[in-house]
Amino acid sequence: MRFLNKGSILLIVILVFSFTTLIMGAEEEVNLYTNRHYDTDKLLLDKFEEKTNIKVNVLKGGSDELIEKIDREGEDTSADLLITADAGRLHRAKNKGLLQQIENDTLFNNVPENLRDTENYWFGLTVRGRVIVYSKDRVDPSELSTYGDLTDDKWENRILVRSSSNIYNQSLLASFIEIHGEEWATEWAAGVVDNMARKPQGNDRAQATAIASGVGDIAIMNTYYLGKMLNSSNPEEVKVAKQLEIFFPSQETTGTHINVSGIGLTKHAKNKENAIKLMEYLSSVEAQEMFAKANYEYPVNPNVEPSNLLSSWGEFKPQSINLSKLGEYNKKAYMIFNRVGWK
Amino acid sequence: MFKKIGFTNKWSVISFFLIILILMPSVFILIGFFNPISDTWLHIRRYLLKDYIYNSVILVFFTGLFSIIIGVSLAWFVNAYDFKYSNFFKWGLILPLAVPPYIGSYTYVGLLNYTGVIQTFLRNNFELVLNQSYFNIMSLSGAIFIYTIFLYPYVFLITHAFLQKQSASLVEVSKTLGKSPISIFFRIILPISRGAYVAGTTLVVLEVLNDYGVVKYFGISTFSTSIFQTWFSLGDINSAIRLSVYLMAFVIIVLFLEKLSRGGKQYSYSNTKIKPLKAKKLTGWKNWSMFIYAFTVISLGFIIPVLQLIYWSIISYGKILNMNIIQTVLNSIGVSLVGSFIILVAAVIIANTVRIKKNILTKNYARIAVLGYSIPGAVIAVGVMIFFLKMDNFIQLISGQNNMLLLSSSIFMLIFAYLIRFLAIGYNSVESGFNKIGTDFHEASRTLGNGITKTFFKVDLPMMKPALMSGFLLVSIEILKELPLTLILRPFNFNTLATRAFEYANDEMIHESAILSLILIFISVILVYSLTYIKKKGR
Amino acid sequence: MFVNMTDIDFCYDKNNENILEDFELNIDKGQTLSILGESGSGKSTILRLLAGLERQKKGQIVIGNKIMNNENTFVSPENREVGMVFQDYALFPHMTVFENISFGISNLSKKQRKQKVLETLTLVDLVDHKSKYPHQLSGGQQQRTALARAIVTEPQILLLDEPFSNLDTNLKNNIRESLKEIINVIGITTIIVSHDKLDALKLADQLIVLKEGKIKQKGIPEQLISKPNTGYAESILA
Repeated sequence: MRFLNKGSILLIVILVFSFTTLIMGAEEEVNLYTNRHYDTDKLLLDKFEEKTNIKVNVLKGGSDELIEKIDREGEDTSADLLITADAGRLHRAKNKGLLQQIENDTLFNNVPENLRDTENYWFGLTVRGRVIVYSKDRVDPSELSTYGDLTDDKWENRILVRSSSNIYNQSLLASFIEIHGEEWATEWAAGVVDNMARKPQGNDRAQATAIASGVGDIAIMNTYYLGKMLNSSNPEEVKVAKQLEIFFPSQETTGTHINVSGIGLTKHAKNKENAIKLMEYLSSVEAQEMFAKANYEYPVNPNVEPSNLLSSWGEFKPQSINLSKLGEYNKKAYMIFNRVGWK
Repeated sequence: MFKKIGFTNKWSVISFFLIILILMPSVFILIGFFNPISDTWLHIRRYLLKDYIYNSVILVFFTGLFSIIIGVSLAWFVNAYDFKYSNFFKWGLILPLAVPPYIGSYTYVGLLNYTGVIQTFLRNNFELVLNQSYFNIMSLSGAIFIYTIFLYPYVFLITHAFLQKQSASLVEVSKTLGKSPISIFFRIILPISRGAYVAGTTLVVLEVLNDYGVVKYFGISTFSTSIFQTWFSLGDINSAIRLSVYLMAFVIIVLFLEKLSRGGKQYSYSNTKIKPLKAKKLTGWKNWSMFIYAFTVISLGFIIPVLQLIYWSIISYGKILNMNIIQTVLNSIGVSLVGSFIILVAAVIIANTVRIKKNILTKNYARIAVLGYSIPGAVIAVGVMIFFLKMDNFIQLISGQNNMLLLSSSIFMLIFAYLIRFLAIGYNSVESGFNKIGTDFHEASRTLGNGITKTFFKVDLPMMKPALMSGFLLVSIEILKELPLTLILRPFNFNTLATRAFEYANDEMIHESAILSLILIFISVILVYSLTYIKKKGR
Repeated sequence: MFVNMTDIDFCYDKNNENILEDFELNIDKGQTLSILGESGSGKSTILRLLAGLERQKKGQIVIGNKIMNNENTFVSPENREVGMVFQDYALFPHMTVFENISFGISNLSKKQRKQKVLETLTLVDLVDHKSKYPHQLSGGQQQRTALARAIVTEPQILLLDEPFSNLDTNLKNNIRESLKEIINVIGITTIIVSHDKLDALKLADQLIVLKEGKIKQKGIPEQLISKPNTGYAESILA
């Protein structure tokens, strides 16, 4: 009998527990699926809540997992908005029919055409470049020119780059498929593999660190990571970053590869109005300034200046492709990487 | 007909439905194997499958081998010898179990890499810049190290428990027959313990095959990373299912090998009088070398990682304050307790049914119940998700209501997945508890007119308390540390210590990840300690 | 004196009382000694000291002219050439009867081993069971296997710790007979520890009664049994 009582208490606990996750409050809210973890985002969302009294519920996860979840949930999805750190992924979501089109002047003004979907299914929020970072001591910047040049013999055993399983590399290669075609892209990937200082391992920052420790001389890396390292709480990381310089490849030719963190409204969003309000806010000058300053990313809003650090790197010419292509060619890129043995 | 199969009681019926329920997701996966093959699959088969198999074999083989070497040797030393702090090591050597391998992986990377403590110290104080390949842990060998040092306790635990129950006379008679300690170890102790260390190694191997965090972080392509990749990145769920089936086949082979090596021979004891071995006191260099060995192992597997995590936590102290830690901790503890409870209840129902009525059907219950442990967390997640969505549709059909995801967005789905995955652990504890108490008492009670349920609560349960507590603690630890499944199935806004620690680490925010990891380890340690306390008391 | 224990002080834990104090024991070569006493009297301890499984605080042990143990020396069990049969037989469960018995003579050539083991098997009448595993044997067969294993190494002395306590009465009688024959055939100095006076009567040349580590009575079994000199002895010998 005693056991039964304990059992019923536990049962009640279980029920209460699950209730609290089931019950969606009657208050105004919007549900955001995002793969960004940066604490700045939280501050922004808090500010939005303050301003509008709309509660933002956040589900964080890997972009792919989130997309899969929305897909499986179908009509009943709880997601109103999807934020991913790669345009290719946004394109995938659009292709799967998970997003919906928006006509909204504020968004159109805040986000330039080339940084949003051609059919307005998604909108960029921040921009990052995938650039070359090099050792100040061992590399003369005049040696660097284009992405294509990386296959040259002079770079043998000097290139550091992360695994092909990472979406940033996949999008990079996708952009090359779009600009130069599959054959060129395949030769490029194979050429880079031949010049690698080591088998890919670690993330972007690990590549930068490996330059400092002498494993290689140049690395392919996203711009914001360098910013983060320069401002790291680990003094050793700062030391490493200070030994490096940034280079924007292909300025004379097709431009430096860029990608966006972007946001889209889900097709079956239940809180559409609130969602759009959040999108407007995130693309507004106030929010864009926070994105830019705190996470070393480039803002999309043309009325916002990039941070001092980024400004110090100078302006650069980006690739002029349609970012949707990054998603379109993602699978081809994945297969090319596997074929040429870029691990 | 039902009467014949022994379906005449509540326990059998509930067991039956539980088993069916547990099987469902696996069934969905197996059915999925017959879906058409995509070109992605052909691509995988041509370029990538070899790598997955090769990597998996290497990881499994060497981790298993080293785990046996370390686990068995330590279990024997701690049992047979009295050396400095050997009493502490008896439970202390289990501590690495409190550190999930994925946390261990990024901790060591951070410790050993160029900007980490060790190299920085050498650079700043001795101006020593060493060849980076010495410090490179993100490789197959590095992964083997990580797995071994954090999973060997499974072998240690089971072997140690086994050795403690062996009679001292085996060793003593061997001495009188002229054998040296080394000879005794290899000719007597090792062969006898085979059942124990093989069981422990199986647990290690299953953990290795299931892991996602370590291999993902180290960039090693295995079945689990590939499943995640094909399912999520390429959106090809059918390929993911095929990979899952391959992985399950791999596991079945491993389990089969385990059964083979345990052999048909029953190494049971010929009589009941057992005097435990008295530990021989060591002195001099023998004393110290054994201490150093044990201390090194526990340093690598627990002390060093924890110290590094503490250091990082202190550095990033300021950033943590807005991290909503309390909610995360409550989530972890809550889902762990609730999950463990449900799993134990299910384990008891099924195990009791099996021991009372041994027929064809029930014999397979045990096998099915433990099957889930061999299915990778990600795979279980797929199966469960599909299952629950179908259930939701069904409910909507009946009730006519167009409510949002009643079941599938709730915690039930997650806990159900835990049930499938960890039932094996609870079941093993419960089963061995039942074996220990035997059926005599049960049968006596039945002949006195009590039904199964009444007998259970009045007779079996009181005697099962240690086994139940052990099972409960073991499952709690597992749920607390669980990663891939939780990542996929968790409801809205629901984070556990495991998922957040992993996400921060993968986002290259190692320092922020540290405090969460520490809390997780701390809770695990408490659970591990309680476990050893109960085992001690039980004796 | 073939076996000689002098001035032995022994206790298990440092804090406890001495189980044996100023203990002395002498056995001639070829003799069979039976030590009788209740549990806790120290009889098993004596065997363990002789075997080298325990080390005394004070005193000396000599077996066959060699000092096994005193303040300066300690010969470890594996070097003492002492054969011991434990109360629980301690047969290696993962080895057959044959393998169990040949375990102690693994330094001989395969041919020699086989010959010796078969000889011993014949002696204990277990040839037909040589390929069986311990759990497949009866109690009596297990005991004989344990005995065979101990004597095949041709030890200097044979120690038997409660050899029949796990067997039922009928079996005991039979086995006592066999054991006596075997011991006579190989002529080995034997010490049997027991709480059953019949063991002493049937098997031993000498008998000592032990209480709390002290010898209460010593002599020829038949004599002692008919004339116990203390209440304790009487109870043991009753």
